[in-house]
Amino acid sequence: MTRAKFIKRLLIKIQMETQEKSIETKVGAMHKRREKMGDGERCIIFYTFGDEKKMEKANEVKENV
Amino acid sequence: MSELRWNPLYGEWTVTATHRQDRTFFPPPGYCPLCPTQPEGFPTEVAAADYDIVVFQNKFPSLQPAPPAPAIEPSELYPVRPAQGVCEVVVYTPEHNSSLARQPVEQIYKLMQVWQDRFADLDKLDFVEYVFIFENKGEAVGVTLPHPHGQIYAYPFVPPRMERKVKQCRRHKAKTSENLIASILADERKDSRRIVAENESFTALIPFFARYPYELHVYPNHHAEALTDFSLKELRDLAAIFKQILTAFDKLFDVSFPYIMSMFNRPSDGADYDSFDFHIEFYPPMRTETKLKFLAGSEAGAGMFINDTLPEEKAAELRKLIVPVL
Repeated sequence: MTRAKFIKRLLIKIQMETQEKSIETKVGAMHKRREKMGDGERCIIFYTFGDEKKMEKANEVKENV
Repeated sequence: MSELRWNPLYGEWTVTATHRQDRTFFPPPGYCPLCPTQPEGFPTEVAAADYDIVVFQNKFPSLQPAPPAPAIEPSELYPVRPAQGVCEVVVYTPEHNSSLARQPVEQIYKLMQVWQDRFADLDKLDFVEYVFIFENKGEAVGVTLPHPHGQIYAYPFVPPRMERKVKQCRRHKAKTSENLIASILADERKDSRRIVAENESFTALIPFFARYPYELHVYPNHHAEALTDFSLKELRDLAAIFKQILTAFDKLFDVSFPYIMSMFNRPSDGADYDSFDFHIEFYPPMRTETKLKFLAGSEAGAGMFINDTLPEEKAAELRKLIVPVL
């Protein structure tokens, strides 16, 4: 990756974190919880947005895999 | 058995995946594997219900992160390699009787963020050279599970259509110093007859060269090579334009409109893709309320598409059905 490209991506990342607060408030931040599936081999990722209860549960178990 | 077999006639790989013959085919009501598992119900793929969107590895994958060794010996004429890659299923909602078009724009916005996250994760894998996000919708395109979902294939090579596109983009840039998608967008804007919807970040249109009557493309208004280049505001705008065009599709013949949705991000092989722009293409098979477009002799045999309609007229039909999204 070139330096210019790296800086551009970094700026986009910063922009993503700071802008559009109104949209963020409505949908909330994204949380992911990764678990093993019933067959014990495959992985499943549960994505939740915003809700604090869901978020707490997500944080508790996100390191399961 | 699963492996990649080289096709020397076309210079491309074919995946053999015989285990996929046994995949779930129109399960009876109450036995959808993509619904959340109900208390005392049969175990589905999704054991919990506390999610907005869920992603899991396909039970019947064409490509696997740790694939078996090929079951056949390669030769000079026929190279063979393990079918390494990733196949994921993205379930858009816990609701069985729904569709992406019927989701509120906020749910579609959540999906955009999930797609962005999946692209970012798969893009990093050493053995992945291309991450392809797509949706097959409707029986007309061969869907056997009606629960709203899409798929992601992470290939160990850049697939042939993408390779051709990249080549065309590079050629155009070398000749004009402009990106091809930017040139197409500028031309379409000047003409305006084929534009269906637009917002601050994206434009939806039926291109001059459409191969299907309602083939719709979504282009970013500014240069971006992949989903990971978009801000949250841009993802929100992408969700809004999705909502508009999918709703218009459904209104067209008053049916849940079938389509294939293909998302084109830059390849993941680390090369330079400055001349390429992210875009999305929809290929709906319906050409009228009662007729489907089949890929027949000219299309399947010669690779030459015949469109029986004019993109300018079809774009006007869709444009009339576009309503604002808040």
